[in-house]
Amino acid sequence: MKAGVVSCLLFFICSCNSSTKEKEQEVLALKEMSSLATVEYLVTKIIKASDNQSWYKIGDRKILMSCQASLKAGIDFSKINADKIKINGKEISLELPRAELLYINIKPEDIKVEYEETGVFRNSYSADEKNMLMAQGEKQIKSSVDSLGILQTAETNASVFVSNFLRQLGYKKINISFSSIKPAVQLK
Amino acid sequence: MRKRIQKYVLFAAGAILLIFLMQQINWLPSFSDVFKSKPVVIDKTPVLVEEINELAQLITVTSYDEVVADSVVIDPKKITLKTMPGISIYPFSPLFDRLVIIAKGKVVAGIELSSISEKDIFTSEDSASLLMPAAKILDAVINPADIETFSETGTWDNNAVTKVKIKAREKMIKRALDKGIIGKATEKGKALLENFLRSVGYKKVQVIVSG
Repeated sequence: MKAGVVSCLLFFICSCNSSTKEKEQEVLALKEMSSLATVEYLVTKIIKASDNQSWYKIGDRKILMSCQASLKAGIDFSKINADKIKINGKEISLELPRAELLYINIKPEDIKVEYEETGVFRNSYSADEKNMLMAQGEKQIKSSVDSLGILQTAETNASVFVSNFLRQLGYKKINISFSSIKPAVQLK
Repeated sequence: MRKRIQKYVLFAAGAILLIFLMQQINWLPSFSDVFKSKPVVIDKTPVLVEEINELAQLITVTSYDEVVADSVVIDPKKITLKTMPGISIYPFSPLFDRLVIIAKGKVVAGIELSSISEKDIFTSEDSASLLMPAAKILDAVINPADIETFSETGTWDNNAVTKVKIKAREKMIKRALDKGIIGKATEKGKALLENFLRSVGYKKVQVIVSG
């Protein structure tokens, strides 16, 4: 009998032991930046989903959406300082920081529902559900950044822009190199 | 008799404990999972590059914000039908369709450096002067992952949802402008360019904001 009571107690104690993680408080404010955006990639993606995995739901729901996203990449302009610059008369050498993805922008008007099919016993996708599917699409776009080659293009364009700017300032020979330190990925 | 009951209770408690432990180590699905709807996962599809644009935008200020936007659709026919006794199929459903979203996003402001031409730069020995355009809003970003649907009643088509999201974006831009994002972005841009000109060897620098 005692063992039974102990078992029950153990069961209830363990059931109540769900950990509650406190969410970190986010501060939304006006923040100063110093990024030089040098390239924009406009990409499109098809979002394809089929809701037929729950065994007790009769019928299927299919949806096909398309979206266009803008990805901007560039360099941290504040990291170009006197330590990274060598001047010899009309010759200048400078080291630029490595390019990073600045942000992704999926405009609401660039999201289109191309096709939707709903079974007789099912409700069509709600606005919230469609948004959740789009959020998955956004995640897939973010993860494809490396294969798009956007960072290499951003560095090439940064090099061209800075060269032209320095030429306009009167420098005749310009040598540009890139830092070996890769920026930490911090996409908000 | 008492011994038999004791035996059953002990057996039942043991069984419960065993099931619980098996669930904890994922050998058995939890009871709530049996009727839990499976999340809809999108298929992996390729990303197609449509356009590559060369930019020269100096992003100097970003305003991070969170706004609420909503829309209410009142259909007079629906109200008439719902208020007529005996006709309404769903007498307790709301009289109007409502969509309320909470959108988190950012407004990006900065200087369009591509508009600076050769005639805007003056140099003489150790002095440099630059005519810089004023800052402007470069982008307002509200991505799907940053949108939370707080309330949704009725049926909403894609165009109506888009309008609510655009409303949220406009609200965010207005709030950023009210906070003086343009002035701050212009000041920061000026400081960054002055610093850059000093770094590339000019002692006396002057950055003038045009317009």
